[in-house]
Amino acid sequence: MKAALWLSAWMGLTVVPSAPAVMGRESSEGAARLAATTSASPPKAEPQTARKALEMSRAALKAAPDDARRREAEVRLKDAETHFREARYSDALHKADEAWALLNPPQPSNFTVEVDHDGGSTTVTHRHGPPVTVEAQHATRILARGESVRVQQGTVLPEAPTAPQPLQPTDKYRFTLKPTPPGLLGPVTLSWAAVPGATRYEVEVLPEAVPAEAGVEPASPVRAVLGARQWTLPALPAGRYRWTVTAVSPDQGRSVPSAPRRFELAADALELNVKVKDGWQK
Amino acid sequence: MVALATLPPGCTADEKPRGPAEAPLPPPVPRAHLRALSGDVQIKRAVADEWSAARDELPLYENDKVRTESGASAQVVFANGSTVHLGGDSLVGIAESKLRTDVTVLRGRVDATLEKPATQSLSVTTPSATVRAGRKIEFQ
Repeated sequence: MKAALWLSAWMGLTVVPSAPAVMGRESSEGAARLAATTSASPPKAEPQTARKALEMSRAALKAAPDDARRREAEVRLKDAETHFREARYSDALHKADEAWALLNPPQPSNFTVEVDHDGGSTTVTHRHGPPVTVEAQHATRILARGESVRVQQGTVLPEAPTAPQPLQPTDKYRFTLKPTPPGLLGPVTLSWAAVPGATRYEVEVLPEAVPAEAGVEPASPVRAVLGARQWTLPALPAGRYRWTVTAVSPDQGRSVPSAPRRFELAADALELNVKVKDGWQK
Repeated sequence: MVALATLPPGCTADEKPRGPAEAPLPPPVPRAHLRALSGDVQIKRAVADEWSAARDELPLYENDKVRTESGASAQVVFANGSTVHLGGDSLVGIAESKLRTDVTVLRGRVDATLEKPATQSLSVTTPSATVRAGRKIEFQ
């Protein structure tokens, strides 16, 4: 009877030659050899393998939105870390793997690799899907969605910049503003703390659920890339918004997005003008 | 005598009998195919010295190279379904299967896509780094 053999391997784990996992590009004879040395029980994981899996899951958790799936993954990751501390590496790998799977439901993976003309530097940008690993000079870095890194030939991998800290407005701040003639609300200025090494900041403002109202068009996301540490938004429709800011460094790549902040735009009470005998009365 | 009599003709007792004529090597298995060509795309086979014009659905083998001129583009589709899109002015090589890499980017920009990263994997190597994506679950 063929027993289902649980074997998971990150591509990043392939840097560990003795890792007991099936490698993505390993030959079929390698897989057969592995299968021959294992029975129905999962293979024993080595510390390096488990540590890599933990790193990958931590990176995925960091980039995940705050929802039930993330919280469940967090529990699995804590279990994995407990197992790791107590040297139960197979259990640690298994739990880290579960956490990763929760955070990475099936979706395509996309990344870009750009090599300059003389081959001296490589820029890797992760765009979508599960994280990728970048290896250089025997060091490995994990890129989550939106992150990038530039690697100079013969140099070590630079650390990504830290995520910027949003400053204003405070979380869930409610702006009450008079609508401009087209019925939009503003101005609202977002600001954040400087990040060492960053030369620009990418800001994204996303509308949250819009109350169903006839004739109300849902707002579109607005984005900007700025050298400054603040941005005055264009006037926006009333509603709730969520924003994040990402630091970009020419040498270190992109940070993960900041923790999201929310704000609400509400129209000031309607001004009623009533026509009276001698004109209009407010 | 009986033992000698069982030897194939032409063999002495000290010689091992020759096996049947060696079977021809199996044809090489393509590692990928070229698709969605646009503009001037060229290929250099591992055993060739010259570049020649590429065409759609051309199989790619170990150590073949593909280059795109400025403004051209192409897709390298691997057997497992992962895809590498080559932008203009790029040069890539198909890696040997014994290496844990699939494609080597020597110049230019590639966009790599794995439709099913849970079961696919892709490794891209450059002169300075190796990028690995995807994950593989094996069942016995």
